[in-house]
Amino acid sequence: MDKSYTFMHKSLAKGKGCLNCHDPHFSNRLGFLLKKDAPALCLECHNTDKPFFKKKHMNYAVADSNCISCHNPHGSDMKGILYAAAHKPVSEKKCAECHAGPQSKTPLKVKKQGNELCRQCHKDMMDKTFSKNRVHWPLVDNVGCLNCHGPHATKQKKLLKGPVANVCGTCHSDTIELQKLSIDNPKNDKLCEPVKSGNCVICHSPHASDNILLMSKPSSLELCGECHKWQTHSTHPIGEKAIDKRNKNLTVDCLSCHKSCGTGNNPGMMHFASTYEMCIQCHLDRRR
Amino acid sequence: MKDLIKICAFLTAVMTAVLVPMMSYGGASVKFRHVMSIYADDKGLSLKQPEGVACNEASFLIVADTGNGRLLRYTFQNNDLKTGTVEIKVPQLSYPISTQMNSKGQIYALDGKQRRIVRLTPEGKFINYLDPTGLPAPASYAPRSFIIDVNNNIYILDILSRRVLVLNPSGEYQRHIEFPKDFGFLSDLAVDFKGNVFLIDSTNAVVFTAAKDSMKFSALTGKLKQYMRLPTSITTDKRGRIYLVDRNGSRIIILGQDGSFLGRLSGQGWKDGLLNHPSNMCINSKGEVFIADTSNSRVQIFTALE
Repeated sequence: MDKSYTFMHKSLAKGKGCLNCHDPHFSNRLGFLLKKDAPALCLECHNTDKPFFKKKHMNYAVADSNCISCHNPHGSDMKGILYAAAHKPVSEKKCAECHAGPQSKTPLKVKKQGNELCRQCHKDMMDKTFSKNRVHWPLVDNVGCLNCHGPHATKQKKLLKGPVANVCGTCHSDTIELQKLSIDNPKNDKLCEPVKSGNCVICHSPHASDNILLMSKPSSLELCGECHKWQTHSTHPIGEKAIDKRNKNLTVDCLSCHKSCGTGNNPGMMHFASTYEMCIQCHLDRRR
Repeated sequence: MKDLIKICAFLTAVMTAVLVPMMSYGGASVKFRHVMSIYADDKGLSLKQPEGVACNEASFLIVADTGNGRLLRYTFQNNDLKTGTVEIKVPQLSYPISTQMNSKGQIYALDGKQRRIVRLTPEGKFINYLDPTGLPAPASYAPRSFIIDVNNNIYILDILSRRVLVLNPSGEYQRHIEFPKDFGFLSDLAVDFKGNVFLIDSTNAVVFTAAKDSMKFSALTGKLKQYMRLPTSITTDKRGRIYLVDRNGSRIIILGQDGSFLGRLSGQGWKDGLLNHPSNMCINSKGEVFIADTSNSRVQIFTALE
């Protein structure tokens, strides 16, 4: 826990400190040995009927909302101990930009469905996204942008719901499992940095792309070349003129031998368990 | 002696090419024998990352040649392609990601960029966009995939309003089936010969089904993550078996009518018979199997062996 926050949650300094919210021995709650889940835990101290509380929440009835979807329960450098990355309408208390008015019958209902809600402000970004050949499909479902981003405040940059690998792993758990296996594999000491750090968005465009698998560049030579000087990597024929011997519609590129998201137990992010096995895919005359 | 070694090497290569596609696990009741791969059109222009295939009993095969922004119509008869590939390139369809044919031979294709379904004549002339009429609220929809049944009814996987829309052949709304309560992300749908509708939940690897005329989906399987990585496409054969295209696993998964796991076919690779990020599969009543082998930039044709 970072104790250097400008604004600490006051309960930390009161009564039992951490034990106001956590039980040191056991809990039947899912995370963090909490005594209760939010909002029930928070409501033990915070009275939602108080005029001050109502004013701070722009008169919206938030008693049933999940407090920690906006507030950092320990502290923050933001007023109101909001998470560091707060959506502008939240920090400016403009809830009605997205929600119906507080006096409405359904005050927390959002004004529009899916990405149409976000388009109200993020039009340019949306137009750019939807001009691409392929969009990331969750963007067009009824949850839209909120599949990956928090609407109010989060700990992560760009209002992501969590670290990139966790967000992507919500749907792409198979790939993230491989990535984790690759990290744990001692043979993979030269693991590609985006794979090592779980930063999928270095190579993939998370919103949309003109390229297959939402790659940010059309060819792996270009993409990998941003970090790797592959020209010095080897003298193996590579590029547009080097036809893949296994498949005449493909040319030799980085992905001919390497798997970009990690391969679990294989060394050097290769498709196969050994260099020999990899090379004889094309060099049949070298089979032993 | 040298000749003998060459012959042995040749036989090994041939055996590998023939047998690898038939590798299967879990006692699959079906095996695939590789027949041929399509790499190009008649003019020699290579396929580029095709994502969709449609087939019928009249030996027509439509390929959504996604990377080239076109459809290709082939005739596949007697285990061979006939000459006379038809290239279909219309301005209304710049990025075809899936395709279907109805019983009249009309071609339908989903454009991934516009997220609209285009209707074409059998020769490939643009007829119109399939814009459903008479939709109940909410009127907005986003088609992730679609399928046409034997009666030419059109089923659209509407991920925006979380439902399967059932339209008559003219595109008029007939009914809809709400998505199940708990799911991860639904990528594709299928309708079997009995009229049962199936959905594939890619993130959880769960198949849902709704019996013919039912208004509700229920889970046909539990989570099948141990058998596959990311299934993104689903289809059925004349016996009601279910085939899932495992895009990240580069395999085909076979399930029984009851959702039981029957086996896995093929695997990741570049040589004929192996797959690399396959997107879609079509099987006709003759047991001819067509797979859009996307990252290998080809379509592979197999025969299903019982």
